[in-house]
Amino acid sequence: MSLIKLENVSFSFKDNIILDNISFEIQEGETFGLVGNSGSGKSTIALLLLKLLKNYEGKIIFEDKDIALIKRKQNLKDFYKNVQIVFQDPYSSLDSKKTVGYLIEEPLIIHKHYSKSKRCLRVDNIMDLVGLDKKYKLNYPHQLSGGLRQRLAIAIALVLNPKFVVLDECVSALDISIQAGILNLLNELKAKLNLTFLFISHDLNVVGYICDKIAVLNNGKIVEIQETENLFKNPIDSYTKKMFNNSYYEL
Amino acid sequence: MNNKVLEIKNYSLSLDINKRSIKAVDDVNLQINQGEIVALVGESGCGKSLTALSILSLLPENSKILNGEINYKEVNLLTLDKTQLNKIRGKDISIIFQEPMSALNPLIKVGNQILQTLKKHSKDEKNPKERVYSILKQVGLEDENRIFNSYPHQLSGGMRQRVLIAMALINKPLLLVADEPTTALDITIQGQILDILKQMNKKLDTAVLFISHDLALVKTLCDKVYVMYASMIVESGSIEEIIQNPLHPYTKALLKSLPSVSQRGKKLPSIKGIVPKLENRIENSCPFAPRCEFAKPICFSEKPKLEKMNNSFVRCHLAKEINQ
Repeated sequence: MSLIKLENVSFSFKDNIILDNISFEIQEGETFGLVGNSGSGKSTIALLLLKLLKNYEGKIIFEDKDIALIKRKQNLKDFYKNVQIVFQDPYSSLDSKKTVGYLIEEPLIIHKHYSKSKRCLRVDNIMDLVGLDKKYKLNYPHQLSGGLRQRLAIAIALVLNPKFVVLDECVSALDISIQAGILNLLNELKAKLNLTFLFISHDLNVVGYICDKIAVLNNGKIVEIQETENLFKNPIDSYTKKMFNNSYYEL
Repeated sequence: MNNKVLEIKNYSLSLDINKRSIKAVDDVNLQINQGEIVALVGESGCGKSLTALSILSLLPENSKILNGEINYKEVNLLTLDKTQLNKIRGKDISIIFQEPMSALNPLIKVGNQILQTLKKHSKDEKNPKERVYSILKQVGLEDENRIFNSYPHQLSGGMRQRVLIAMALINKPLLLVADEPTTALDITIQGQILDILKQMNKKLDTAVLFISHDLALVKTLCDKVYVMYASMIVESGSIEEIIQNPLHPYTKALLKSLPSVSQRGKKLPSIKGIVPKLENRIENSCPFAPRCEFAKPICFSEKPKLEKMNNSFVRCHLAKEINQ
């Protein structure tokens, strides 16, 4: 079943066409990859899916509903409970004056979930899940290492039990010896919690490892969508071929 | 053929952070021969960039050289004063940085910036502008007239990096230090920049010290590689040797943990723990010991020496034991 569907989505900023007639579907339980150069429109797609940009053409459908029509406060809250994002550098998106424990709890407070004691349990439970030791609860984000900070960002994204998570370059800023741990965690969480991911990255090795299906973006257009193994073995589009040939990614 | 261009000998450097003096480069030995492309690989904070900056004496103010030599041909660069250094920097040894935008002057046309570099070192050049046009062409900027008269912000990231390469090579240096020159660029552009470095290395016989965290890039470009971890060189050897048959537990674990399409569906063998922060590094022990799957008591109490094994050098107490 498809969880997300984009139908002929275009988006322009001033006179620049950022996205040009984009259509794809993401199935439930899938990790869908987006690759492309900077400026190709990867992150714009992420922002559109999160309803953070207005005035696009075409339709974006989440669970059979057109997200442009979600307007009432309660419906919006329900939508954001189900759709979350993890950014490249969590440090710049985390409130530096709040503790780790509070940052994870905050979405629960906003969404008026549970009583205080139940919230605490939920925070403990999610910290366990993402491999963040509970001793960090009273620490501040700057006191964590890059890898732990990314685990914190994942915990915040998952605490409301969403169905769909956008991962925008979420391992690019990490040291290479830390990357593998986060990638394993994402795979584990996906299986355990029945998640669907949109995975945005420019790193062919990472995308090739984690994604089931990959869309290649060039200048705001999708030039090719294929299952991962096929895309690596038999790229069809000339841009995709160029991308594989020109980047030395194989060890 | 074994013509030494650069030799770093027992080089150590400390940084003053919060009134404490912390070793950021520890006993580094490195050699580059004429025309060779040598890689220095490591994660952020391992000291690779500090080592590179040391060669050109571009160190931050809070750094202090503890001991060692950096010999360019027969001269110890560390003993030179500024005037002497300026005769070598930009002429015999040049550098390109990760972010080409911040390395170029935004107010001067890029052609004139390259011209400045040329004129500073070859005053009797008859046709300097022609030389600049020709080098721009050689680094793949075909429309050399337009590029010459452009300001940095009018060029794309890849073009800016080419301009920097042109500027670094205009005086035909013997050594080019390239500090993560492709990290800020798009994947499709990365490959092109590597190709140009390779071509220019062949054409001018310029040796290159390529600093990177990406082993796949290093593999396509370099002959020899030095792997750094937490201020120290832990392993060095030919690139094939290190990828096929890594000796140090860090290199082994790192190579195994890299994701790729062939690993799909499998759990990646990740390395536990984190790279120790500068201020948490313990002297007189192996820096990798807390994360190492083979670690024994000796690893925590004694700093291993860099020793020859097979065709490589490795800094590990247990190298013989685990590599049988």
